[in-house]
Amino acid sequence: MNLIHLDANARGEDVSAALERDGAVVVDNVLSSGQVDDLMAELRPWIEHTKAGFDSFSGRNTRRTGALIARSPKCRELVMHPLALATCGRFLGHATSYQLHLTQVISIGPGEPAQTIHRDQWAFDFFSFPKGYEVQCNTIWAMTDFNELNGATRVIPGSNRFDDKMRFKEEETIPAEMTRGSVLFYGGSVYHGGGANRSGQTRTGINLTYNLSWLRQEENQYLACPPEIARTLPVGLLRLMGYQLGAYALGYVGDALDPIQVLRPDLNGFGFGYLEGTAEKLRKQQSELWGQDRK
Amino acid sequence: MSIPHIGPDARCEDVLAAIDCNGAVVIDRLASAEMMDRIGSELRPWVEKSPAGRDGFEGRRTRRTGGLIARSQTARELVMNPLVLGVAKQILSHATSFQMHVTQVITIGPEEPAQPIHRDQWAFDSYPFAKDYPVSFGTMWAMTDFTVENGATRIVVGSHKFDDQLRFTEADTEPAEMLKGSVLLYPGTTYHGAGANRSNGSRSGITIQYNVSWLRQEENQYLSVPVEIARTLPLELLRLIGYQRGAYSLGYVDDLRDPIEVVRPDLAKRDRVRPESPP
Repeated sequence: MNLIHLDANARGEDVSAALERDGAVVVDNVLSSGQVDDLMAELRPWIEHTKAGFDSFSGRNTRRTGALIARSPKCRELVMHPLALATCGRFLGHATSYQLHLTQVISIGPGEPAQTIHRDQWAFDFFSFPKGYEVQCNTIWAMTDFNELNGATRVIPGSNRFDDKMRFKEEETIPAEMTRGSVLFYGGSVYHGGGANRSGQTRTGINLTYNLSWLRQEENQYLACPPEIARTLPVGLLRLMGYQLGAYALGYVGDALDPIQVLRPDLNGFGFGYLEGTAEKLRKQQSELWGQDRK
Repeated sequence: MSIPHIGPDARCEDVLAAIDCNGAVVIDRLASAEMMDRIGSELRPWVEKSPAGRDGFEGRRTRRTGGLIARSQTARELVMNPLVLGVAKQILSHATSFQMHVTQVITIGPEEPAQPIHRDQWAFDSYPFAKDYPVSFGTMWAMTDFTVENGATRIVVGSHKFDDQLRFTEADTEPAEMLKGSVLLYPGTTYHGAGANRSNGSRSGITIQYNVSWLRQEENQYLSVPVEIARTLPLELLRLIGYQRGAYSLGYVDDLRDPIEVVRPDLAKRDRVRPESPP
């Protein structure tokens, strides 16, 4: 089975449809070479100061550099990329809302063996979500070319419909080869893993993942982005980072306050700055459960 | 069926057996009336300033006051009550770990109608968890006596084993009457709701809930507890309120650091680059 490639003009609904079918898709050449250069210029000092992983799953020759919202203004723009948000809006649209789950540069060094094939949604304590109920949407933005030799992500297209907790070998997977500036989208249910890096160069990608906002975030955005930086960020980005309620009431502060008021006391009111459609979905859910509308 | 009561010297397994059978249990006077009064006086300024609810579910004559870890030193003892933690650990034992989910004083004023009967774990976007996989565990500590007249919590006894998304009326429920200092325990799967307050006084209770640590917390502890207060808290309490990873890696900060290092840098295991100090 092949991995679908779409061109840079693809719409969110096209990417989402491919994800629903195969669990993974590459959109080619979304970023220009100059945009990749700008991202890497901001990220390089942080990557160089990052230590390698502490076990074979995180990768002993792999550096994982997080807190990209705090560390890289260009990454903030990437998190809010219209294609990523449009895709998540469709692919994760069965839930009331979604949020940013993690930000991480993954730099796989020469000699790193292949990562164990897994589903990312196993992060949620290996809870078996039913087939078709997607809980997260990943993006890996290629900062170098991704090829079979340097450890391109290995995927099993269509495995989003497989049973849970299966084991696979590398030969059952295919490499998500892509050019620098392209982006691999994949759902939390698709079996995949980082490839072995048999080249002499480091393979670098920016992993930005979104998940349903009733689940815990992998990267704690409240702690990873200091408040003095957070206060300067656009409201739309803050909402996505978790400064908004999930579902009816998850994540409030103090006396049931909207968490954004911790940073921005000037903002108030349910619905302001929420992702498109969230308020309507909530009203419908409340109405179904209790026959009552939130005023 | 009625809600069983058990003494404050009960063993964890007795409490669990009562919950398994009925979906709820009251432990009589697990805290002293004096302790509840102390919590009441620590929280009074905050309760008086809390706004009433915005809809029929929150209750337009009901005040909800959160942030108890930051605001009441004595309430932290309720959160860490060893018997309650022992029961929570067992109820949520199918998950790797659990965390504190919510702290809230609920003050129900006179003439408040009954709250709709619900499951607390509907908070998770109404995801239909399997019956044998409760994801949250609730406690309600009585700050006043709870009576039928003043709106004692109404429980559909045995409903933790029922199907999801059912609707009930008050006639299907039993009141969890209890004395001040007693605590009502129930898993997130038990159908319940606050009773109507037909008395002249307020009914006041503290709900402290726990959930499996791969789910989001209802009350954001990172934002509700200022870091200067967090630094003074016991390590076990910090871990419980979310300063620990859930499952393999949920909730780390920057380069896979344990979140506890943000408030307790002295516990850092590895030298790492902080987001606030560029290399």
